[in-house]
Amino acid sequence: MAYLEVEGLSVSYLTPEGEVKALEEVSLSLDEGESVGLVGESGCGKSTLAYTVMRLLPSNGVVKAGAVKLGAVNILNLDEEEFRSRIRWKKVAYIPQGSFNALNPVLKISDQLIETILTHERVDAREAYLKAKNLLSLVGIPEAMADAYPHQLSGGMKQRTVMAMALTCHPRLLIADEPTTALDVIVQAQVMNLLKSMSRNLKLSLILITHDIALAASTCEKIAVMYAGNVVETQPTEDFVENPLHPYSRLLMDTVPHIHGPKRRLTTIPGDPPDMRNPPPGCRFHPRCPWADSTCREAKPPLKTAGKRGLVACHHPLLRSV
Amino acid sequence: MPLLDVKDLRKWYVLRSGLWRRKTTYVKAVDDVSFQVEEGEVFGLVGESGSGKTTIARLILRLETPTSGAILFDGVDITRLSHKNALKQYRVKLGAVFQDPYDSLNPMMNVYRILSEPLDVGGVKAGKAERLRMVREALKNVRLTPPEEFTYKYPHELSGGQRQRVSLARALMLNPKLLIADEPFSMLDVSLRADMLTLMEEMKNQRRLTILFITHDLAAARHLCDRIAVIHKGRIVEIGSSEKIFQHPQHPYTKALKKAVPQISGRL
Repeated sequence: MAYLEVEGLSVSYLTPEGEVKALEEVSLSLDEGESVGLVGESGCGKSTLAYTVMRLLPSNGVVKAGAVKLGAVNILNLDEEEFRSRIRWKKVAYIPQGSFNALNPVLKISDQLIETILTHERVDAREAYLKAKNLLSLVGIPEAMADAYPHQLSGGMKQRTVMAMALTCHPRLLIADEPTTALDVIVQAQVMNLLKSMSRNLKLSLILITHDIALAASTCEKIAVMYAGNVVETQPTEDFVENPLHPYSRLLMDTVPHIHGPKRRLTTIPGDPPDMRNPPPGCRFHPRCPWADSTCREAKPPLKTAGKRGLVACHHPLLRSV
Repeated sequence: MPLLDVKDLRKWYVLRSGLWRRKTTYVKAVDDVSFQVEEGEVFGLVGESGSGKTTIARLILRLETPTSGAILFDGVDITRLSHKNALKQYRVKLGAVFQDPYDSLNPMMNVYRILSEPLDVGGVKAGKAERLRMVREALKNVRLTPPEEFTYKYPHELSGGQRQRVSLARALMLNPKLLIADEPFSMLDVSLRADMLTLMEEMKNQRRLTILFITHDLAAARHLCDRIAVIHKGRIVEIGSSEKIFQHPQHPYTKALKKAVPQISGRL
């Protein structure tokens, strides 16, 4: 059974310049212990989805329609106090983008973890300290480093500290927003391996938000591609890699330079992402799509089953004939 | 003669500790690094954060002075340039694009002023109309079209990718002999990264621009560079043609670096 079920979720930001439709009828489901890579360009709504699930939308963000179900409960209907005491951090934890630069520079990292532990659990300070050390060693930070200050840590260690914080209350679902954007490849590989092994060992469901399709494909079991506020494709990673169904996914894959095999020409996706105050009619991607025809300009394609086990929102999915 | 000839370059930072700070230890940020860049070549310096690659760039730009060693540019050792004018004449031949497109453009200047500043520094005598023409030409070259639309915009009105193109246009304003690009893509989205990569490829092919490309992104380095030096803890551990390094990496560190790059096919 699905652990998290996002159903027909529409979210808008009300701005003085007009309504920005950040999410439009987004649906996504995630089983227990499953990992999904949520991929798309900046501004496609990936982070808005995370904010909505965490109920952290800014004050001008409005949920227009849809539900976010955790088990049988629609968490959008819970009142704030109930959500805070039962769900946030306890069931669902979130690692915001760039949060490793938000550690308090004048507190030891152990103290920053203890603060969280004491807020959420009935333990004394000594127990909290032991627990903080345990959490840090779980993410591979040696005990000797527990009393270090953030400036003494490398970028990768800071990221791991933030991951330890997210695990404080034993969540079942972890949402990581661009956890490795500012880190170099070697550290990125370490952080990703840690995320994978945590997800496996703790049976943690994982939503990895990233613009790097290669990173998502090498980390997650499932890929969900977002474009202009819509989920345009979801497929198990093996199927996706073999045959991306949506033209946007296909083009996105061709923008990634390779290090194996023969050198290939890079393609770029023509045009810019649409203005979300006034998105194009029909398929949101049609102005940039080389395969678009008159149907695409008029009717918005629904998300329907395609391929082996996939869902795609396209009138002309790129099914590879076998 | 190579355009750039770096010989036994060293940059050691002094750390003092102990009682009365009498103990002296060194951080060997750059340690006996030698390489040559031919004219028209794209040379990659690849390594993880802290490996010393940015320090090398700063030494070449003379933003830092080396502990020892020489940097020959067009046959002249630029580490010995001391006269202000000589240094200025040297720097005018270089262009630089830095990592963060949000930090490297002055938020108080519009694109016109950002791009005409190098003209002042380089002592280019041109009237207002001539400058405007040059700025528009530069914008066209980095595919910010139509240029009229971008000329009077401020950085906050531009996206990350557009800013990085303005940085590139600024670096190319004085037709430099060498372009130093320090992680120019790391803050950009994947699709924008492909845009910038193809743009730099074009510059390389059409203008025969010499580029020193500094990155931790092996895939991008492979795509753009003719030759690559892999740098680890301040030292070059492997140097050679980029295809050779990618097909048959010799040093264990190069292998580790290659393995760490996420690939679409196959898991990490």
